[in-house]
Amino acid sequence: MKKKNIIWIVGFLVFVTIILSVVGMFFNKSEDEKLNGLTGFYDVSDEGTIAYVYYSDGKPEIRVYHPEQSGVEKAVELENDKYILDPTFSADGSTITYISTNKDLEETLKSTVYQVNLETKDNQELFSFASAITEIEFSDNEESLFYLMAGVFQNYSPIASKRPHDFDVHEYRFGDDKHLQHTEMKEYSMHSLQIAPDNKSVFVTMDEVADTTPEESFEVHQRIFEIPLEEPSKRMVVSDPNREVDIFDFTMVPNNKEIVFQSIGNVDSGDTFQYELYKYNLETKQEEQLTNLKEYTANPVIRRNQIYFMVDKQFAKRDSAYHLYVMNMDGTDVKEIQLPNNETSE
Amino acid sequence: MKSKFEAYVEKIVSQTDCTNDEKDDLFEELMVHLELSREELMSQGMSENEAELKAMELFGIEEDIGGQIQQSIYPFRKELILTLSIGCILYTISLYLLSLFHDGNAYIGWLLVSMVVSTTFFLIALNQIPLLNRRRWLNTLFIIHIFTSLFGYSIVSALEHPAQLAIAIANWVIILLSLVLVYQTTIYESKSQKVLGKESKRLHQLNFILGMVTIGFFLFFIGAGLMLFGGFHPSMILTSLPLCVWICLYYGQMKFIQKHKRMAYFLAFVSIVINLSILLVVFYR
Repeated sequence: MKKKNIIWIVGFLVFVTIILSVVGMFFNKSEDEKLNGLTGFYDVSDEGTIAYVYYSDGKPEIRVYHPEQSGVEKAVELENDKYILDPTFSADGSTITYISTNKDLEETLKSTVYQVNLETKDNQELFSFASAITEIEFSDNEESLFYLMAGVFQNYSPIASKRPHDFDVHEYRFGDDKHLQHTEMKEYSMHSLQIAPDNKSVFVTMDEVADTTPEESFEVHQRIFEIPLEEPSKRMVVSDPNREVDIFDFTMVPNNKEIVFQSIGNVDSGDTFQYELYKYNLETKQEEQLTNLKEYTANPVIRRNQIYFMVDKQFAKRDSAYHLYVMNMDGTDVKEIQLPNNETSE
Repeated sequence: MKSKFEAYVEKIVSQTDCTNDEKDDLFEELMVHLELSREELMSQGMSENEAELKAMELFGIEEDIGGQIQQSIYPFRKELILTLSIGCILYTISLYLLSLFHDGNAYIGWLLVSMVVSTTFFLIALNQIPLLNRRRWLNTLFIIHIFTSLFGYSIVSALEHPAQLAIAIANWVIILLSLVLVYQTTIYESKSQKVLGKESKRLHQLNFILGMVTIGFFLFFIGAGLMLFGGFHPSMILTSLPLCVWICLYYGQMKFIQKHKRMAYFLAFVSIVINLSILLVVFYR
């Protein structure tokens, strides 16, 4: 090959490399900008309006959609260094209360609870802590807001990533603007906060009390517990105490006689775990499998005598792909709700 | 002061990747050929100066002749390096753009290293940088290229895209081709040269396999360490210990093989035992 041609080829390669580097500087995204699409966080109002958390170039939004009306409305949009967790409708559906945390909790550990009025779009800060608040739940009369808050954000083992630990149940009273800490359990993990209709106890999923030996502690299961607020140390298992497979998420059926919960459907298969929804009758102690989607089925919410739930069709992969579903209380008539993820109005 | 012929022939010889003895032989052979040609041209009526210039003109351009000799000593090396270079340029640009526009990750440092190494291979294949066309330099470049491609594989494995499988296959083909070239460059023995004795060739082959096990072990534990600790941890330095031991033992074997064969084979035996121990620990612990 002629020297002149070689110089041209090498010059072209240098030019391409420089162009690619410059393009890379412009299109490179920070970690905060990378999150996109639907998350597993949502709520459904008594009128059937769906509020869900959606990310656009890392910016979290709460979008509000009513299946019987066209269009979707953007209720909240935060900066791309924030997460939005657990949007919760008020009973009349006029406001949504939600948690905002920093994406980088290691750098700045802070959680803020906001309430947005869907009519006026007024986004009011209720309270904020330099701690990880992970879930909120209104009391039945909506005079207070219960929340789960972690005491620390750390890794208890060098081979584990940093996560919120030392959980306790807290309450914020709207009337006198006061906070109460109901438990002093410092639980390793605590999820799915539910409040009893009489506000005298709360329900959560957490680990059984670990036995002393390391071998026995491996056999500890995650179950649903009722914690009486008057005497938090007397926690009681309300799910099947002999269930061999952990329970990860649940919701109480409004009749308070049944629980819909999430558990693993193929624990012995050796394959990637598939999470399904089950129903457990607290009186008859009978369990029934509701879904058989062989996916990651999660976050059951019961409204209008139907069970709404999320399905992650890319479970165990890097990016999740959530889809919202609804079914009858007996697990029949499973339908996907097509959420319009584009064309939002302010 | 060097004569015109000497300067001309030296330039030709410098294009080849031969030992000093072989270069001396080649130098002598070419000098004789040119001198005979000069005498013939002088007998046709040319002056000495004219005959020298004509003889060199008839023989050809130094770079071309040197490149042809190099090609005859190492057949297919040029083609293989050219294939590696072009394949690696296409792979680098594809992976970089895919990672940038699909995941928003611009691996500019990796792009620069990979493009510089690939372009250098291109120039070496076309014999534009004779200095780098030596075993030591070439193998250094191949090793840098293998590590660059392994880093590239970590980018590929994080991609969730339909093209992931095709790029992963291309990635491993490129690594395999680089390994073949390391092997060929290290122990290749042409018909015209007997640089390596059978014993040193055998030791090279053995160490090539042991090296792959050791480097594989090193990379596996570095990767696992980065995942477990979420970054570099001083204890990860320990995983490079077998790699350092392998390099030292390999160097020792090559030093001793000419005069102390027993010692060279003893070091090879130690290297085998260490590698087998690593495999036993990894698979049976």
